[in-house]
Amino acid sequence: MQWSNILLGFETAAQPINLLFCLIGVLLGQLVGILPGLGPAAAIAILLPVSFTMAPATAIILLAGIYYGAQYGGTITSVLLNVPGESSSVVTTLDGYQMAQQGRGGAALGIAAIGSFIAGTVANLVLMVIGPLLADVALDFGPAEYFSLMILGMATITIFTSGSVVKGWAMAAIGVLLGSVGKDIISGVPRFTFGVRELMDGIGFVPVVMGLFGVADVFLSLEEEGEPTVIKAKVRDALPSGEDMRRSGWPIARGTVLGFFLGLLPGAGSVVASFASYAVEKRLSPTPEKFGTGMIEGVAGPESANNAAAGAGFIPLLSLGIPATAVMALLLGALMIHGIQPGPMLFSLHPEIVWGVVASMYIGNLMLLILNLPLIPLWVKCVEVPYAYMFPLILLFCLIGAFSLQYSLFDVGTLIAFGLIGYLMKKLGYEPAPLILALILTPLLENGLRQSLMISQGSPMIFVTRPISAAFLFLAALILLLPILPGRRRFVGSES
Amino acid sequence: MTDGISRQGDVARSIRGDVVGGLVLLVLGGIAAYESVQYGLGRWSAPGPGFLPFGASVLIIALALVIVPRELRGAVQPETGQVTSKTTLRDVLAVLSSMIAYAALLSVIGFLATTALFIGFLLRFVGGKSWRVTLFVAAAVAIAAHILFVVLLAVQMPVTPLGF
Repeated sequence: MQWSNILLGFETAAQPINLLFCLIGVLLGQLVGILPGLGPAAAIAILLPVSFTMAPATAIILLAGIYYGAQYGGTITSVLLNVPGESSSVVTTLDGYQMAQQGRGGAALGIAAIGSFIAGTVANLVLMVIGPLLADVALDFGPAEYFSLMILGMATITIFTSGSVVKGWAMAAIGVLLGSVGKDIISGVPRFTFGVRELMDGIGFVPVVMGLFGVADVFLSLEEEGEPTVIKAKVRDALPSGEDMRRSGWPIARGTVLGFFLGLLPGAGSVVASFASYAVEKRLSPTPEKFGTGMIEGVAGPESANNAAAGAGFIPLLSLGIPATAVMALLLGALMIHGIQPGPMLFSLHPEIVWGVVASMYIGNLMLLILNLPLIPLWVKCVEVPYAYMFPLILLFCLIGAFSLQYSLFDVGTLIAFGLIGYLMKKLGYEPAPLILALILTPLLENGLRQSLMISQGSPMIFVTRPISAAFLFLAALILLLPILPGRRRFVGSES
Repeated sequence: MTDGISRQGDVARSIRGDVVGGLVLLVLGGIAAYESVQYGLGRWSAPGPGFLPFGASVLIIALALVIVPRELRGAVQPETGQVTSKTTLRDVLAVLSSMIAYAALLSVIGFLATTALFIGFLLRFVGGKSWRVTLFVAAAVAIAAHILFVVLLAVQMPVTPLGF
C-alpha cells in the first residue's frame, strides 16, 4: 500500500469542490439509473463537454460517480416497480419485486444498498493494492503486448454484448476504420477524409457516442407503445432484519468476488456479473425452486456483483489505459481530452488524479448508502415523469453537448448521423459497444501493430513468441471459442 | 438497452433486413479496402498508413460473406424483427428533421429561440401535448437552458444581437 498516495487521494477527494461534484455525480447517477430510457453511458457522454471546464480530477470524480451511482439507482425501480432502470439490475426484478409485493421492499433495497456498499468498497480496496502493481508490470509492456491486449479487449466485448458474435466483430472492424479516419500519425497521410477538413483530426468520439447511445436510444424508445404499466409497492419495513442479514452474508461475499473477477475482464462488466451471481446463488441454494418468489439471496448476490464489477472495471482503465466497458471508454476519452494519457504511467505521473478518484469512490459509496433509503420517495416520483417530456430534454442535452465541444456544427452533424446509424444498427441487431471500444483503442492498436512489425522486421511471430503477448492472444482465442463449445449457451441471452 | 425480442410473423422481414445489413457491410468493406490500398499498405517490415484499415476492411468483407448467406438460408433465429409502424417512422423522421433544423437555425435566431421552437415542436407533434402545455414547457425549458448553459456554465452558445 502506498500510504502517502492514499493520503494524497483523500486530500484531493475531500476538497469541497470535489466533494460537491462527487455528490452531484452519485445523485445524477441514481437518477440516470432510475430512468429506463437513459443509461450511464449516454449520461456521461452528455456531461463530457460540461466536464471540460473543470479540473481533471473533479471531472473524473463527477463522471465516475454517475457510473457507480447508476448501479444503485437501477435497483430501486427494479424492486419497487418491476422496471429495471439499468441492464445490470434486470435480474434483481426476479426476486426483488416479489419481495416488494410481500411488503418487504425495504428489506430488498436495504440489503441491495448494503451489499453494493460492501462490494464497492472491497473492489476499491483491491484496486488500491493491485492497481499500482499491475501498472508496474505493464511498464515493461512493449508494442506487441499492447496490440495483443487490445485484441483481447475486443474479443471479450464482442462475446459479452448481446447479439451475434459475427456482428460484434463486424462492428469492431468498423470501429477500427472510424478510428483510422484522419491524418496517419506516422506518415501524415490523410485517411478516409474525402477532402473534408474537419475530418483531418479524426472523428470526434464524443458526438459518436452521444449519437449511438443517447439519440439512438430515443428513437428506439419512441417505438415502445404507451407508458410502462407501473405497479407500485409500498416500503413498509425500511431495514432488513437480522435473519435477512444472516442469509445475505454469503451471497454478498460470493457476489463480490465473482463480480470483481468478471469486472476485470474487458468487455464483461456488471450485467454479466449480476446474471452470473444469480445463477450461482440459485445453484448453491438448498431451495432453488423458491428463487423467483422473493428470495433475498437473489437480490443480495447480484446487487453486490454488479457493484464489484463496476469498481473492478477501473483497474484495467487506470493501470493499463484499457477500458473494459463503453463507460470506461468514455472516462478514458475524458482523461485524454484533459491532456492526460492513460496507461501504466498514470499512477506515477498523475497520482492526485488516480488516487483522488479512488478515494472519491469510497466517499461516494458512503454517500449512496446513506442517501439511498431517504430518497426513495423522490426517485419513485421521477419515474412517473412521462417519456414525452424526457426525450426532448435528452435530445437537447445531446445537441448542446455536441455543439459546445468545439463550437462547431460539424460535431452536431456527426451526432445526428450517428444517432440514425445507431438506430438502424440496433434494428438490424448490431450492438454499438464493440464499435465504440474499437474506435477509442485504434490509435493504440495501430501503433502496437506497426511498431511490433518494424521491430520484428516483418515477422508476425513477435506476437506469439513474447510470453505475455502470447498469453493475451491465447485468452482471446479461448474466449472466442467459448460459444462454439458444445453444451455452452451464452449466459447473457439465455437467462433473460 | 433493448434486447432482441422477435415475433414469428416478422421473420421474413427481419431476414431481408439482415441481408441488407450484410450488403451494406460488403460495400463499406469494399470501398475501405480500395481506399486503404491507395494510402499505401507498406511492407510487413514497414507497414504503411493503409495496413491496418486494409486488414479491417478484409475482415468486414469476410464477415459480410458469412452474414449474408447465413441469413439467406434462414439458418439463424432472427435477433431483430420489430416491424416499424408508420407512426413510429413518422416520429423518427420528425425527431431527425427537428434536430437538423436545430443545427440550421442555431446561428440564425440564437440559442433561446431555437431551443424553445425545438422543444415545442417535439412536445406538440411527437409527444402529442396540448398547445397550452407545449407553450408553457417550451418556454420554461428554453429559459432554464439559457440560465444553466449560457449564464452559469458559460457555454458560448450562439446568441442574437439582443443577447439571448
